[in-house]
Amino acid sequence: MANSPRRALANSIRRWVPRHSILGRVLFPLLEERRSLPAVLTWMGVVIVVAFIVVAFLAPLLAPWNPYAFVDERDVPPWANAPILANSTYYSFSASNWTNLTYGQSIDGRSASSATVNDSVIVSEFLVRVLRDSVTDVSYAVLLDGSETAPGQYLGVEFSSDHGASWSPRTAIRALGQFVQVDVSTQRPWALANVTAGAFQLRLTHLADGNTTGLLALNFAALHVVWLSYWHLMGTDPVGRDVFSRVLFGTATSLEIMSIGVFVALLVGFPVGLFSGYRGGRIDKLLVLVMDSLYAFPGLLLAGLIAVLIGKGVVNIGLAVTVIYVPLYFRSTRSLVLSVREELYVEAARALGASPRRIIWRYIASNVLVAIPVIFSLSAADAVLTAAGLSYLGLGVEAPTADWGLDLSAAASRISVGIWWSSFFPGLIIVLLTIGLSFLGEGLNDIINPVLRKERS
Amino acid sequence: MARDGSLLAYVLTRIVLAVPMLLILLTAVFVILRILPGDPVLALWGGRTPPQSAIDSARQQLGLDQPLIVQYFTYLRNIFTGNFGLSIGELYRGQSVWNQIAIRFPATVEIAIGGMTVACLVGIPLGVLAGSNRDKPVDLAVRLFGTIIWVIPIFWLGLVLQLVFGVWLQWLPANGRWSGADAPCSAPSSCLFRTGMYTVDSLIEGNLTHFVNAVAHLVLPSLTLGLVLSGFFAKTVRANMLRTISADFTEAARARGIPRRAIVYRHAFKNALVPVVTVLGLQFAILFAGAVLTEKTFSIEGIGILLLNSVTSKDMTMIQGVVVFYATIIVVISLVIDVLGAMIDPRIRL
Repeated sequence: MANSPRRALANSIRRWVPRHSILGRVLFPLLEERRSLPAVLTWMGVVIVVAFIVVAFLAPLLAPWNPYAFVDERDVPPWANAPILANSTYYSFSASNWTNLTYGQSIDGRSASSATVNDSVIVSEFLVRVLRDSVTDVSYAVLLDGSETAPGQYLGVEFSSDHGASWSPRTAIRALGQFVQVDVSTQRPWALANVTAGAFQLRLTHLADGNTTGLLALNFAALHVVWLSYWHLMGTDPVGRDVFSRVLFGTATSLEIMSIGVFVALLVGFPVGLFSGYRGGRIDKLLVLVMDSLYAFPGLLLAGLIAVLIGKGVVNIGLAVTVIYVPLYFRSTRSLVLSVREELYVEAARALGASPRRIIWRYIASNVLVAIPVIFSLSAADAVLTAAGLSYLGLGVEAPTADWGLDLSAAASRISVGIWWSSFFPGLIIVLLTIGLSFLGEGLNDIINPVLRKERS
Repeated sequence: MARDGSLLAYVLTRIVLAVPMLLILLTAVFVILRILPGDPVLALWGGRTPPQSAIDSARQQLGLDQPLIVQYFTYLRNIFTGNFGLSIGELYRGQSVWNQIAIRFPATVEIAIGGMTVACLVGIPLGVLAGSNRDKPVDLAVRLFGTIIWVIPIFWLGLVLQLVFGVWLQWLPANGRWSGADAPCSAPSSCLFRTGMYTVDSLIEGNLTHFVNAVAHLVLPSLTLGLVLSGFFAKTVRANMLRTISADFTEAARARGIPRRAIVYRHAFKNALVPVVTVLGLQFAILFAGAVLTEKTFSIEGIGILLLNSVTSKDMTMIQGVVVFYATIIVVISLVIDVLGAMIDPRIRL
């Protein structure tokens, strides 16, 4: 049987969840609903939301890269390997008659120079981080100083990829005042696959035409290594972090803010709405006025204001988001209470002398709570959007945290140069989660709301 | 002679009710700004610790040394006399808060109106289509569209539109309100008056290329804001269509043999629109929040960006001014919408 696991799940729910408990009153109609659109939507929502929760917990195991590590792979497009170019100047050199040959490029604008023909120097320890064994191209670049170099003096360059054990043929470089880039891929006896960073060396020799003597001045000598980046599912962001890993880690941030925001709002809004709706009178009027005013104000702005004032942790942002949803829960709870309050069974309980507390909790709250899962998942979808919006505006969680809204906003300005992936994918994931939550909410609403149910049949 | 149920009586009651709402919002702003942690005076020095005497004099200048209750009434008096004060933040220090708001508000109005237009143009026809074809594929498609578009982050939708129409296809400008040097009516004598809304200003100027320029910049932000709202519109109109299409008067029309098209348009649609007007009022809060995100996405220097800048630089007077301004606008709009609704549908007045 194709759907036996589903049936087994349904049976175990039937066995363990009492039909008339709050959970049962949500779950049983769902289980009894057969293949209607709301049922399909609800189950899709359940699957999506559960998948996100699982991903939030398993992110460290699933992520292919450290989401916080900067690698030298910037703006790699998704689904592709991109050529990564690394430049490096040398770090150490062997003793010779060359002067001012400091680490790396010429310092203070003075060039390294040699006055002794045929003197050679070996520069080594290029700090090229060859991160991959997929090197496609190695070349070096030198720049001879046009004004200081005497006529007839030129540079001979040899290249070694094995700590100087073997050398390539000598290349003569005579062009002054311009970068000369020599591709050593053609003169190499070695395989690109065997490249190791520390093994590169250049031997620079002062050569001269005939008997001319004088200064040979060198401004710059550097190594270029091009390798193919690793394959990234969603590419990398402008600072070279793997977008996919950050999206995975961002799930937890988003779900944390969302659940703090919505749970705390429920804990505050539900009892206050219950009390206010049951008691009525002046307190009720005042509360309604306050909550309606807050509800009318743009929630994102209110939350942003509070977030800035109370500080930027995940918990603080969650609490700031709460402010939006307290009025929502208050209003929905209160309006439900008003309709339940007049029901016959409440009337009967009151006639039998039940205490107000018992009436509120036993007869009203339990009936109102059934409607909560719907409001809960719809407001959760909204809370995800709000949290992302806050980070997008720079009022949410702070920089190194993996957060969808934050990543999206950090890369948003790159859209104009066509680098779309590092902002597109975090947004796409937000959409997926919010769609899951709202399918769940709207599907459930159609299923457990008996008025709509009657209309449909 | 306001009889019970007359429009005038309704308007007066609503105005009376709007006052406490405004007062509550103003109080909330005060509470948030004065009582929550985060000292605006310390923010003046941008993280460095100033001498105590400087703190004290700044406090005195801002009136923060007074007891809270005195501060509260000074705050209310200033607002009701239109005295929004001067900015104390790093970005706008010393500038009039009211001036900054006045400069930036037109840009926000433009995208808000543009967004509402798109939302109506897209949402209402879709809702009618879905409502008059209940449970057919069109209906399902519209319902799915409504659900999905409503939960798409505005800024992401904006980025995607920017990418497709601004960067890849290059049909429309991706950023800003204006390309070129001179904004419409920047020359002092070229216009009779200035609104600050570039579309309107270029019309006052009578310059068609300027008008096209302004509108082209407005298209993408309006689409972004409008599409998200249109989902909600479509759903509301659909629900109301379902109600009116099965109502007695529609049945009666059908019994009289009136063609289906006429029934849908003349009887169901017109009546379905009435509740939409009242729902519209609630959408303004979402519209303003969405406008902030849209402004940021399309780098439009509107009032949302002003609030954002002042919040990040903890510019207390500016935040206060902008938030109070927002609150006032929202109270006024909901008042206007309610009155409009009451004019269209007399039952609301009861």
